[in-house]
Amino acid sequence: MTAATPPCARELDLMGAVAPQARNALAGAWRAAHEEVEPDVLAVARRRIEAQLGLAPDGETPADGRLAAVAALADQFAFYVPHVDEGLRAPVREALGEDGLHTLVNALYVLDQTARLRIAHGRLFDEGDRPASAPPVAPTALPLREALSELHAQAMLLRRLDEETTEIVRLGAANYHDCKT
Amino acid sequence: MTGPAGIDAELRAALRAAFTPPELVELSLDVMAFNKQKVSVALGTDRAVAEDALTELVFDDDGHFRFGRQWRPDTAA
Repeated sequence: MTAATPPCARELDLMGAVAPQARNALAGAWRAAHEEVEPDVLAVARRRIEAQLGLAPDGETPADGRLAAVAALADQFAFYVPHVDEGLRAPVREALGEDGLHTLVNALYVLDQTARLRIAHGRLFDEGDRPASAPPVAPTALPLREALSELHAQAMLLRRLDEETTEIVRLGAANYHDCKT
Repeated sequence: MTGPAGIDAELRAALRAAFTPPELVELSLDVMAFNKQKVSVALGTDRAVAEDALTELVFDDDGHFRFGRQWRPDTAA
């Protein structure tokens, strides 16, 4: 998998079969993240997030101050986001600018959720649950922020679960992330 | 949500007893979608829509959300 290639993980093939539009939206968000964030920044962020979640070995903290700031923010984003504070944001803002900070955080979400889905689907499903061959993936072609809105929307259009179950998930996420929205 | 590596055999069995694999895919995508809050929390831009009210979250036919009616304690039925 190259940096710009949408994540083609075998773990996600059942998602591709069950929810193809959501799979396309995830691939589109991945593509957009790689187009809008500088490659060295995104590579550090991905490595740190995947290490936090156990998908990759722990790496050394980058010597470069700009990348070290990105690594610290990515670590905390993956580990426990309510504890991301201005002390973590300010060095990234100084290095990347305000727009760069916002774009990076959107990209962190893509990296973080892709890794979490790969791990969860790898643990929940057997090879026999997955289609024999990988379903085709057609990444959406949207800017990152719009790609994330589309990804959220495609998840909300799925209809196999009842509304009460979805609401329990929403409340659980809001509580864990100390989210007020 | 907090740590997918913590999905052990016991949790997997309980989930698979209650949900089909396609339903579990959708459950995980619900978790993903509502984890989008992490963006605004990380940026420090997370705010209540109204500090003194509960605000309805409404999804349109395309799956996009908007904020709807509000309920304040003094007007609640």
